Parts: sequence; structure tokens; C-alpha cells
Amino acid sequence: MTVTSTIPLSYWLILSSALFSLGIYGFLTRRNAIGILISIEILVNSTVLNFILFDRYGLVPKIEGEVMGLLVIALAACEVVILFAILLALFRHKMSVNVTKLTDLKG
Amino acid sequence: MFDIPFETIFFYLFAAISIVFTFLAVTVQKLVHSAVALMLVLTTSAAFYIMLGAEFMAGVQILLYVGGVLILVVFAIMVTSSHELKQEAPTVKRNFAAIFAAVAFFITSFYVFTNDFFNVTNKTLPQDEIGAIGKSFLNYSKNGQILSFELISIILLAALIGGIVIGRKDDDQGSKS
Repeated sequence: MTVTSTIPLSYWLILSSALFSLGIYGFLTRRNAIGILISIEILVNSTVLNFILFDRYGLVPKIEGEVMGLLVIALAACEVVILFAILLALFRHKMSVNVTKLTDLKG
Repeated sequence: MFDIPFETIFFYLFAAISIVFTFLAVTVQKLVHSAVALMLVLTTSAAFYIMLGAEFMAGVQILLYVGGVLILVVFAIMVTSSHELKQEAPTVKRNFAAIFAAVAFFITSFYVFTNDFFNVTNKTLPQDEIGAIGKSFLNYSKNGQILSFELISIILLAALIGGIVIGRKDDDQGSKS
């Protein structure tokens, strides 16, 4: 089976970088920690798309790109679990998940 | 009109859906709507993986992201009662800085990606994709991925324990348990 894609690689890459830019925008503008979490998911998602792209269009006939994509997905799942636990602890102490109000460690 | 290949039509269709809903997911004022938009973004990503011939990744994407992570995000929204309050719009300064960062990244990567210096081929894929992934994970010779496989299992265990420890209610602080 060969990849007979009619779409050039650069189109795919521009799509994934557009998604990544939107994720950066959300990451920098959201104040609620859950909004930031959603933005991180978008960032990770576009990264996995890039891994699969270079696996499919690359020179070496291997499947390492998909393997790396699986690892990244597993890491993202771990990260969401930890973030959710931190959010729960935070909400219990502060009754808010607004990250701009977390200034306890500010000198 | 009819000589456009299907793949091109679907590419532009899904790309438009993906970008529109990503924009909604990062700008909408209500977080529940944001989570629903995120679901659509993740599902269109699974469609992209199918278009690229990575069916196993598409399945993992649906199972893990749409089934697992998204439920957790919605649950987090409910628990912290963020669904009741509208998110305030970002300040002008912060908004400007974020737009600058995002646009700068996009322009830089656009410049890099349109300069065609990647060695691109239409390569031959392995016959069974899932088998190749499994063999790559458990291969302990020179090009194998056994180390990352073991590392990810340890990281998953650490995340499990860490999630329980951090999220636990510490009501038994006085009594040593």
C-alpha cells in the first residue's frame, strides 16, 4: 500500500501550524485554568498531526512517527489527569480556578 | 467541476471545520461551549488521520481523547462550577500580546513550510500498521522503542499515584494515618 495523497505536505503543515497558533492564542488569553487546559489539548493535538504527517511523507519506510504520536497521546492523558487533580485541590482551597489570582508565591 | 478529487474536497472541508471550531474553542465565553467545540476539533483530527492512512491512530484518538480526556474536561468544568460564570474577555494588552505571539509563530512556520526543503516521498507503508506499531514498541534492538515504552508505563503509573495523592481530600491531617 502506498500513500497516494494528492495534497502536498506543505498544505497539511500549514493547517497544523494554524491550529497551533490558535492554541497559543487561547493559552495566553484564557484566565480560567480549564480554558488553559483546553488550549493545551489543541496544541498537543496539532503536534500529533505533525508526527503522523512526517511519518507518512518522510523518506524512511518506518512507522516511528505513529509510535511517537501514541506516546504523545499517552503523555497528554497523564497531563490531563494531573492537571485535574491539581485543579480539584486548588478549587478546594481557593474556591476559584482563575490563574491570575494565584499570587501567593509572589514576593 | 467534477474532476476535483474527493480527497481535496474533504481536506478543505475538514480543515475549515477544524479551524473554525478551534477558534471557537479558544474564544467562546462559556466553557461548556468551548468543550463541545474541542470535541469537534478532536473528531476532525481523527478524520485527518484516516485521510493519511493511520486508522489505528484515529481509533486511539476517538477512544482516548473524545472518550477519555474530554469527559475529564467536562467533569472538571462541572466540579469547579465554571459553567455558571461567564469568562471575562481578555484585557486589550493581553489580547494584543497573544495575537502578536500567535501571528508571529504562524508567519515563521508558514515561511519555513512553503520553502520546500523537506525530502518528501510517497513511501510504501508496512502491510499491517498495528502489527508494525507493536513490533516497534517491543523491539529491543538498535532502532527499537522499548525504552520509551517502558518509560511511558512508569510515567502512567506515576500519574495515577500522583493524581490520587494530589486530589485526595486531606481531612485526616491531625490523626497520623
